[in-house]
Amino acid sequence: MYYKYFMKDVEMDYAQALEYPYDLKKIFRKKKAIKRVLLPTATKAIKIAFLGGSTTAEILDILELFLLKNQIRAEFYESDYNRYYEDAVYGNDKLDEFKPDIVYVHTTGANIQAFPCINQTNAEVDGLIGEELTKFKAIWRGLHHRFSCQIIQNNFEYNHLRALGALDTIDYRGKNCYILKLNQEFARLAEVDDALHINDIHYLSSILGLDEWADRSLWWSSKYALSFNSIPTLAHNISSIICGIYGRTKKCLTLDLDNTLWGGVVGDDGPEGIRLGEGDAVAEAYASFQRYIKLLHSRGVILSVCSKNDEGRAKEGFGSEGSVLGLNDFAAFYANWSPKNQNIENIAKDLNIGGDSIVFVDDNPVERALVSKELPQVAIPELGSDVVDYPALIDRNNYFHTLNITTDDIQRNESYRDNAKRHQEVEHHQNYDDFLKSLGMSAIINSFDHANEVRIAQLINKTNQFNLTGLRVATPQVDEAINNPRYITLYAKLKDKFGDNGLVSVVMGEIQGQTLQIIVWVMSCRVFKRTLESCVMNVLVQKCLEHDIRIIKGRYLATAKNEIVSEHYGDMGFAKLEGDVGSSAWELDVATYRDLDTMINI
Amino acid sequence: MLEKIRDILLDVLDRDDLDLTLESRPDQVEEWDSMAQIQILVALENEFGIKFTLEESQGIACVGDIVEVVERKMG
Repeated sequence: MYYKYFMKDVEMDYAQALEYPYDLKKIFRKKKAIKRVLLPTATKAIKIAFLGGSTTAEILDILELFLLKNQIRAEFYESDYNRYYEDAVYGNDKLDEFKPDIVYVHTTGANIQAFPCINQTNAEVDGLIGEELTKFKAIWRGLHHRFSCQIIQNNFEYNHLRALGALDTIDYRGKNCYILKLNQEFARLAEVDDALHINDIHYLSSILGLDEWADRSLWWSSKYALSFNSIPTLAHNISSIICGIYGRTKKCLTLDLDNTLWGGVVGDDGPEGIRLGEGDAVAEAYASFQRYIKLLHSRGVILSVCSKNDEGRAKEGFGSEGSVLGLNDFAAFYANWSPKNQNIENIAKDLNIGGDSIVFVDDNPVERALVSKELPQVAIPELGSDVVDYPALIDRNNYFHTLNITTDDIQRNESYRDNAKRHQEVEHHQNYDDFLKSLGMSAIINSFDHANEVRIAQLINKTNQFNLTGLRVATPQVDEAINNPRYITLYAKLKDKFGDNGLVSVVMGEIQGQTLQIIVWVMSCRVFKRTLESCVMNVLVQKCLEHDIRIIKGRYLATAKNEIVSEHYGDMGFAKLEGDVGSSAWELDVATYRDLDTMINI
Repeated sequence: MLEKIRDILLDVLDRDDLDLTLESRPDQVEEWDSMAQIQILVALENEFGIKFTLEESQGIACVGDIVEVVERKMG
């Protein structure tokens, strides 16, 4: 027992070393021990190929730690020194055999083939850019062609020397002007390629400063393009992109109030007495922090409050003149005197999300320690005690990194707020069926189409609970299934009197003769227990009849989070063929199917 | 000083059973390859707040060399 608790503390301590601001000494001295301790927590295994234009050994080691912190265990392939182009374009047996899920192309300014010469014309320099892009396009094409993998590609950092002085970023012959243009082209190309993700080392090197970013003697002694102390910043960013690919992104900010969202204690000082808004430097800094949170909120991060306060007094704080955030911005509001870990568990329940989707922000180290001990899956930045640092401490931890931002993200907050209202509505109704009826739900159920393909892929990749197989896909795979006679595909959008939930469920099956094998069935946790799955099932059977399909087969593969759907196929009228706790196979004879009851109009 | 440097070496090499002396050399320790050598130098720089020049880092051949350079730089 003692040993177990001891391990947990060490685990937390090591995980904390990897939270920004990083504990560099601990990371580099204890890297092997950190790996040993975090390894048993991994729930997912992936394969990553490193194609390096400079030495990558240490980057790989440190990335491994950041991934383990997110319960991802990585197996690595590392290209020989500076063989990134050959490996990608011509391939090699070892890499082919390895079959990476993800390829990281670690190129830097040192790998740019040619820079402009002082006597070249503008058109000649444009030609150079074209050649450089041709090289990288060949790399990406080669990788896409050989593996159905996701590519993470560095852009370029500024050159630390400016031979053209202050003109270096202005004059078309300047190295840094050239680098800016290349970066812009990379961004443009990545925007239209869903499997290409830019690792923005131009930004990363800027926040560290170019002199910190690289270590010249390390370059000459061992061809590292960046300093060891920069590697955690780089590795963290790569790891965040990978977490985005696998939907392991945080969803909710849970915020303390006094001395976190405003200066002072609203219960003692009153809404007029707290420091928030204009007029004094501290008050302005808190308002600025609230503006940053408002920005996160507007791009789809759910907000909630967890504060030791009297609820009425706590809410008065948001009525203060300088408050940027309003009560309407919060999907859950817990201001009481219960231990914070209990409140956070309630927030997770209310919003139907896991504790590992929550970031807890509190200026009080005692509260942070309590929550981190009781709920180790919750992310907790070391906030310190200076409000000027708060925004960066959240931002630099990349909690909310997603691959794209869809309209559903933007509407998500309304949707969660609507959910809270629906919660209250349940109270008014005698039984749940009456409540569902009162919602006046209507669904749109269609086959996959191009207008919705990005959201379809996103939903499949982000859904952990109602996900029968845990399968992840890339947008091109969704694209391939559109209008493809090999598949039956459905997505469902759900509306009710409180609002539009957007695209919330996806089913996809492969036709094998007169059998349909379901390979994906996911549904957003926002619409659990609304009979939408029955509605989708009815439509699916209808489609099968149209395609003369007699048998529908389904599989349940257990993951860490999808226990809730272990009996899903049974509920849908399937018979269990075989299976145990980890996996089961189900079958439905279409001829015997009777439409399931549902409270949703189509 | 030797004690402190030895602790760092053992951490980076992830060995606690090594009997390191001033004469110990990389070729006597399996884990002490060229990559570990860089890791050791960076750990020392971070620990003591110093920066090795390229010539210093290239000239280190045994534990004694490390102690000597670090002591000189700490002045």
